[in-house]
Amino acid sequence: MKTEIHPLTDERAVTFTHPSGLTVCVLEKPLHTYYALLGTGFGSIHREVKIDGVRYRLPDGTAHFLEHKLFDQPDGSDAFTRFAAIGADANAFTTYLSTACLFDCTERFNQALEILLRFVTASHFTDETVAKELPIIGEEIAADRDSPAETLYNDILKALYQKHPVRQPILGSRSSIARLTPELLTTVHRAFYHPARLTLCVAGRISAEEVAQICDRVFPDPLPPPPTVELLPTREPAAVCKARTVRRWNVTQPTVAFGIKLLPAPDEDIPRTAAALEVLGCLLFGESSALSHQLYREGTISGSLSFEATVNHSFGHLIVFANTDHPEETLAALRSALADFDNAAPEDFLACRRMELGDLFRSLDSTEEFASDYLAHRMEGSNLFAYADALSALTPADLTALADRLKDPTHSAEALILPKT
Amino acid sequence: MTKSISASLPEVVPNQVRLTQQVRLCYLPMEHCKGNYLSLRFLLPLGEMTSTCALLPYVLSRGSNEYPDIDAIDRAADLLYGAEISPMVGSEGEWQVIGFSASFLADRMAPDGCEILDGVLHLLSSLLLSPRTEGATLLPEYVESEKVKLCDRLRSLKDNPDLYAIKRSEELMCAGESYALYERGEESQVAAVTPEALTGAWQNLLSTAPLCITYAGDCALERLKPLLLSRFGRLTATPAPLPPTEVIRQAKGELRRFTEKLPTGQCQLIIGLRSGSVIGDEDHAAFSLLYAMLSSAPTARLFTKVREERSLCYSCSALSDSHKGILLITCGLRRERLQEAEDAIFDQLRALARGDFTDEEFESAKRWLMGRYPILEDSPIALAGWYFSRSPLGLAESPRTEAERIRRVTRADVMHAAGRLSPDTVYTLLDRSRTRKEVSHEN
Repeated sequence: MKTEIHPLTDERAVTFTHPSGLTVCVLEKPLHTYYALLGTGFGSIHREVKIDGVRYRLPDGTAHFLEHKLFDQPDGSDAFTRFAAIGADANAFTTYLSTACLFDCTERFNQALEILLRFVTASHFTDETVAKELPIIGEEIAADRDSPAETLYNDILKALYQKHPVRQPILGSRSSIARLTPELLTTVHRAFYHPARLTLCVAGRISAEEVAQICDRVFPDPLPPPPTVELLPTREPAAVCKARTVRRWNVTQPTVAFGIKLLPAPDEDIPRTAAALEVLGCLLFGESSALSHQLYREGTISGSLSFEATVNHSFGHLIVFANTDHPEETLAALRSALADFDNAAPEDFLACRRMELGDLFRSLDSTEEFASDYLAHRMEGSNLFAYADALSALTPADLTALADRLKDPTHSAEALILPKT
Repeated sequence: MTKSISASLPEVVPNQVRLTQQVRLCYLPMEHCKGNYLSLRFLLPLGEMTSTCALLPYVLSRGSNEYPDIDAIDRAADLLYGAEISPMVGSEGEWQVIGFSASFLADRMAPDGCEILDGVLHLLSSLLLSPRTEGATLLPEYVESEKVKLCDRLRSLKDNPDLYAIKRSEELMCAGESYALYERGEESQVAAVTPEALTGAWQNLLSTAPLCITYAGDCALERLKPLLLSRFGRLTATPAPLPPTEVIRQAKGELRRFTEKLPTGQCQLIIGLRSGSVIGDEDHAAFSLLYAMLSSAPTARLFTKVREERSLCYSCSALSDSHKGILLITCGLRRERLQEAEDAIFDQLRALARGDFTDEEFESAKRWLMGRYPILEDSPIALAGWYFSRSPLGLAESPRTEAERIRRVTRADVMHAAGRLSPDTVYTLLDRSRTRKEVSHEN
């Protein structure tokens, strides 16, 4: 067992690999709530895969569909019911990079963790259960398509990326998920939900030793090795797919997105780049940035700017969002802010770095946020504590260097949703 | 074996302190937290001033004498390790709640010794008590600008069909009651607010309305109290008692039906019921458990029976206002499923009233619900919210006390609570391809 004590956050993490191959991270917190996630590095972008040497082109939305079906039990019930019976609340989510099943509870943690480990690693897919799920996820897709925010987000990703599967919605489409079969789901499950491909992250009043004992009970015997898996990368060009995309929609106010693609280098220091991207985003396009205030004051935007910064070993981007009655002026201002950036003023830099640190420290009060962020960083090839250290050590020169990487105008795109005329 | 945490962690014991006649402090010691939370909330009856007062926190948060604009305010907050200072507009029953909230890092976590709490209080008092003015009037530029933005937000409610449907169903169900007034204001009334009227509302607020300060965090009361008095001790008015929320325990007359249309891809069905139970009632715990069995517990029938087993809709859950005594069941679905979903929902309500549920379902929902109360002690914001919502009624039971009440609820209590639900209104928001405001009343 490896214990990492992190003075800056006043937290510690114990990690170990269970004999089953399961990676375990335990974050001890003196709180009422236990939170546990069991995640796999299989997300919506993993469409081209080789499993035991056989190449598969998975339908869009496979990871999300599989996430839903994990809860089915052989007796026709679902795992939610088993958690519920002991007072635990279960859920699951799928991201571009990973899928995780989770629960929270205030007691009977050991039982709940056993249920989680058992149901996620077992599979039960039939024609009937797959068919039953199609309309449910179909409605979820419809709800997303009803949302201007989701639609704008999907539009900007499609504009930014030429080939990378991040340009497809995590849920896929009604037609793509209709191609899923019990056999394909079983193959994918065997490959990505073997304990050796899973990471368990637990936060609460429990020790690593106790968690190890529970893992021993669930996986008492040596397991056969998992199928070999190769995630086939997509070669994404540096230039964007489409510089501008416009959609007419039933909205009362236009919304715009300005995106900049940042393809990671093979040896990218992910925590450091992620910290720099977050602080640069905050400084240029954050809610309290000078630009956001200026545009708000002028009446160019409603509310404030917001942004999403993400970078991992597969893809990276900075996307800025605004609600505005003046979309062209807003987008021009966003483009100029990046093009004109040279050096961060010392107080601006200090304010943004303190803000990011404060947000991160406060999030550690929640077992849910702590465990979720810890797992998310691992799935992105990063580490939460390394990210905190990178934030703390960041300098204005780091921002200048990163901004220089982003300034190429062929790396940026914009998406607009305008009211129907 | 893991131990029962509720027994092993000490309970957070609130300390209610009257700082002045007008200002009360609810102090919640939470030493283990890295984050602190503080709210300044004024309570006002919903009424003719609601739209004006809904605008006030937004205008006050635009600038003060010391922090003249948003740039200066945000810069100060960011330097306080990203303190989140937010204007608040909400409601508890038929009381409008306006003010500010602040979430911020505990002083002990600042690597450079920054005095965050003191800085936050300084900033909040500046915004509330010394706003930017032109002469004696709140700065007209800020007033006009915030009016436009609030009107935009109110108009854009239609972009979120689920939220819009809830608002409309409440308005229609509670027509003639103060509750029908939207606490965030009505567009036409907000547009008519003048800087002078808003200034009057601000002065009236400071001179008549009770201010509830809730603090949850690691600062000792002995240090906090003088800090608060130095910032807010000048508020010394004797507030008038607030009128109680009008509670209608039984729906009057036949079930009312309303239908509207919006150009969306999904329909919204809202069933409005009078719950017959409000916070502070002896048997309110039974309603809380009924609500869990219906909507919030993992075994909740709206999810497991209506959505999962019958695949009738994408979403199905309930909202309750425990001050007002109403329960709204909301459902996002396709048009052709409307009747079937409505029937299925009423079937579930009748089944609960008949006692058509297993001991296992009852016990698991009870266990789940009891487990939700200690969780409040994990979060400064959640615990502050718990105590604040009870304070206007003079209630101060802890979450653990409520959990004990839940423990004593019987099957018969839940059946009785379900039997008391009286359907009042069915509201349907239909999808369609073009917008035309249309209300039909189908009695």
